[in-house]
Amino acid sequence: MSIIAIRTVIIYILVITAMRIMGKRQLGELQPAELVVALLISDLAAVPMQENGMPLLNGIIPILILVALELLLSGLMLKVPFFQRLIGGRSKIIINDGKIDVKALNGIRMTIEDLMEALRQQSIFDLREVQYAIVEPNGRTSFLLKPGNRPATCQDLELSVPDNGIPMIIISDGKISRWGLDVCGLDKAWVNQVLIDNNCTINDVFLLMADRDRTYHLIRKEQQQ
Amino acid sequence: MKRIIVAIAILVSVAAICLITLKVQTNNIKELLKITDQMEEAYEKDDLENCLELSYEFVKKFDEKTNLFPLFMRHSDISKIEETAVSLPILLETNNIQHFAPELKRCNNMLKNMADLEMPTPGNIL
Repeated sequence: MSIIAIRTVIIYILVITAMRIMGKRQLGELQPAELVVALLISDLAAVPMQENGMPLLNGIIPILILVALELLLSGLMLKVPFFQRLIGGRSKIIINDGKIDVKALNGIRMTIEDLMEALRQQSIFDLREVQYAIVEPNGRTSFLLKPGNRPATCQDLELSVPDNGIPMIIISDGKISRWGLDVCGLDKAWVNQVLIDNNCTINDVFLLMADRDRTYHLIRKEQQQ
Repeated sequence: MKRIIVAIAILVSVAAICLITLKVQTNNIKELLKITDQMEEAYEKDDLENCLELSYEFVKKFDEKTNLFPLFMRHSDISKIEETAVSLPILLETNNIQHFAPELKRCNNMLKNMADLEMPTPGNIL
């Protein structure tokens, strides 16, 4: 039993390392080749984990080869567009200037029901609102609404909105995030001042978020409970 | 570029591991086969004393030479041969001569198969 436990730890570390080396895409964003590699790795890892009589190398070697090939292929796909088209496939326009391209739909074996489902998932319920629809190589569908149906932007309304950057976590459960401070261009002195202004110590803070404009939102631990 | 270098490094390491294991396996099996051949020769000459000596040597050598085999071979394949190897001197000591020859042949065949099956030939690959 202890052998299985040790083998599991080794395989777990190997699989996590392999996935880290390959990059951190979300499962839904995987290209077909990446999905196949991920599935193969999980399958290969399971066999030597369960079977004591099988050498661990029989599982490790194929995983390493798959990782190396995936890295090589992704490198080639970056450098050579032909490989990108060959392995990743191409995006396909299925609604072109408001008209459904039935031939393209048939080509990717997508039914009108599938198209309507993809539209609804993007909160679009009327096909007439769509100007372009593109099926991406990862299987997702992107939509561009007709100009009259697009949500108004600040630019459309001629409004000027201050650019405060991205709100970042500065303190999480009593711990300061140096990365958050760096992104917002803040320092520890600012954090100390905020703590003094709010009459609390760092250990009392459950969450402190701030942006580049020094606008902050502080949640105390007792508030959270 | 960094990832391509990592990929090439992984592939080179894997190739090195494959070559080393293949070399270790073929060399060790060759040595073991040499002893079984000598045993067969001694048996055919009715030199049972030498045969017994060789069978003990074979068991000892088998333990030494297959030390690294579990790292890259199925443990069941190795233990099958080991079971036969261990029985060889016992068969001779107990004068069970009629079973010795087939057991020796079986051991020889299994060793040869073990060596052949791991060779990256088109037949084995496909």
